[in-house]
Amino acid sequence: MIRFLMRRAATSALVLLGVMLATFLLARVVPASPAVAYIGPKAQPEDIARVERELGLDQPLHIQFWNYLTDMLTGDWGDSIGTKQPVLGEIGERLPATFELLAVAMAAAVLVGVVLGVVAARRKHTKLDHLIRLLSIGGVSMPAFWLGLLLQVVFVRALGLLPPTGRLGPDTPFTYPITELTGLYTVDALLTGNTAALGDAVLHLILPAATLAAYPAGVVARMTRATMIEMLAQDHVRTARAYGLSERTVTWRVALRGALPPVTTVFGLTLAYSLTGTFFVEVVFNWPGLGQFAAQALLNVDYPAIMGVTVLGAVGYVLVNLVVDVVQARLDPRVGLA
Amino acid sequence: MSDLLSVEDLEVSIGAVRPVRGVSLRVAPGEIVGVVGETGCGKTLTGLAVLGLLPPGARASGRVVLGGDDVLGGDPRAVRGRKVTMVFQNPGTAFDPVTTIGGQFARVLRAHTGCSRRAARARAAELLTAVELPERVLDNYPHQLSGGMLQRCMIALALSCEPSLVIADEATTALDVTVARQILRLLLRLQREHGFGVMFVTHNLAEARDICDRVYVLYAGRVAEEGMAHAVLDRPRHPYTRALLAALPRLDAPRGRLASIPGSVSHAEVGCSFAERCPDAKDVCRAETPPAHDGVACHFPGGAP
Repeated sequence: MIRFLMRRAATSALVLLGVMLATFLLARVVPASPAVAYIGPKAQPEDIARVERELGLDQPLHIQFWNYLTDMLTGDWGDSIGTKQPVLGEIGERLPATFELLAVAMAAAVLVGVVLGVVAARRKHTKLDHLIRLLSIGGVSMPAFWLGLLLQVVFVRALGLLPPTGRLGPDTPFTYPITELTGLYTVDALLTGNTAALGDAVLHLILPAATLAAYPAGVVARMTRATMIEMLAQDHVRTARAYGLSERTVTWRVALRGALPPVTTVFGLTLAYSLTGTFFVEVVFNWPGLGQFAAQALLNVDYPAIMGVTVLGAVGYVLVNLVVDVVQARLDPRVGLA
Repeated sequence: MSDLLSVEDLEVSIGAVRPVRGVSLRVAPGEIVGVVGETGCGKTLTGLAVLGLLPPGARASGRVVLGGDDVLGGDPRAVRGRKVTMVFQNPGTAFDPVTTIGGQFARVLRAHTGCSRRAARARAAELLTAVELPERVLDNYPHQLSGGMLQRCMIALALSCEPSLVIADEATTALDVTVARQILRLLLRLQREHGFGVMFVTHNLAEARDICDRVYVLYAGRVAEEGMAHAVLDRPRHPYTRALLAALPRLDAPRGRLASIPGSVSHAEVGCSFAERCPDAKDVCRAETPPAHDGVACHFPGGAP
């Protein structure tokens, strides 16, 4: 296990180095000059030259990259051109909001996807199976920004059941202020016993989380269905039946247990897609998280912010897949951590 | 003595195919009954029908009564793992690959007795001792054990239910000869100790002769011949049984081509299904299905006149 983690740490470091090199080069290749973006549209040539000197843009590329690397490692991720604040601070401020949204959405996606997949596999070729397959295809193929708008139209405009945007209602911060401990509003409200704010936070989470969960839930449902159909035809499932285990045990304990490893792998892969999904979802739902920050940064050609978010995304992705591999080995004893 | 298992006129159809076409057989308590025949004759399906475990799409008719319970008409789960269990052909795939042997024992034991985890483990260790395996096997995953060890585990699992009937479906086929012998000896010892009946499904005639009290020879989904194991396998009356025995390779036979039965299994609706391949077939064999008489379904038992 230790050896495995060390080797993975080494390969992960290589991956991250590659990502940093790529983001760095992209920023240098794109014609829009960072100096111009920094000063503004009315930049004079002598200003540009001065700023380039200040920012070290007149140095050779490999020196620039080295400076970039060492700055990143020492926690200096540069200042955002848009907000003129340190990028790391900006990211730290928004990370909890995005993390909360992602965590809720992914948990919901796994739960809903697995249950739908198992039910579809058990009721193979019935109307219910067809309905579930239609739903999962829909979830996979509907773009997040459109699905988000659609849900808003239905649940906010037409039914008036859920709040439209944001993490909390406009009055909640004043009437039931949340004491920030973790930055995850639901957790903070729960820990401080602030039930009114908890309810409000949960209501605000439902629509964006559902929008974000649609794609991974669809993928997981389809994968679970296919694997479960395969598992239910296996010899050892027949053995379980022959020894008198109930159909419920056979399905949920024996067959699903064997179906989980491939489902886990696929789920890990969809996470990358979901990370970019937060960009759209947060903009549509005015969710004050990283995705919205990144979307703004993209529009403003805010290089430090873009590069910071990209590297953070890469770190997240590498970590998630490390976790997936460890979980995989736990789920299937034949898979070693080599 | 009343029968432990009675199968009457069992038919199994899968789509337009009828792999089992009216099999009747009985197993008395504590009796070892062989069901022999070549691949595709309906042996395994008959065994699965007794458990109510036919593959999806298969339809069964007839009567299967096990210890007073109607399996085909009722809920087969009332008998599975309680009155009857099965030892499967492929020990390598018959166990759940992602659960320890101990976990799989616990699952079965707790489903039947509702006992605690600890009690289930103790009982599982006892059962492993009975099949001459060390307790540490409980912590192993199936892929860490050999085929012979897994088949011992399977037999121990079968014992866990204290069944009155054990169906052994080609239980030794996937094992090498010496291990197969050990498994057979183990099965016989446990059968004597616990007194359960055994339905021994095999294509290995030598094994059937060695351990069975009675045998049924199946051909194309019908019983071709039945009787005491030694009588049937030493003095076969049905031409199919004779051909099957003649096809056994013998060390003392003159060298040359191995004997076989010409042609392949036909499922003719009219006449004797073996007529096409029978050296003694007459016109009547192709026209009329032979009724079972005195344990043989043949128009000319013991050879043509």
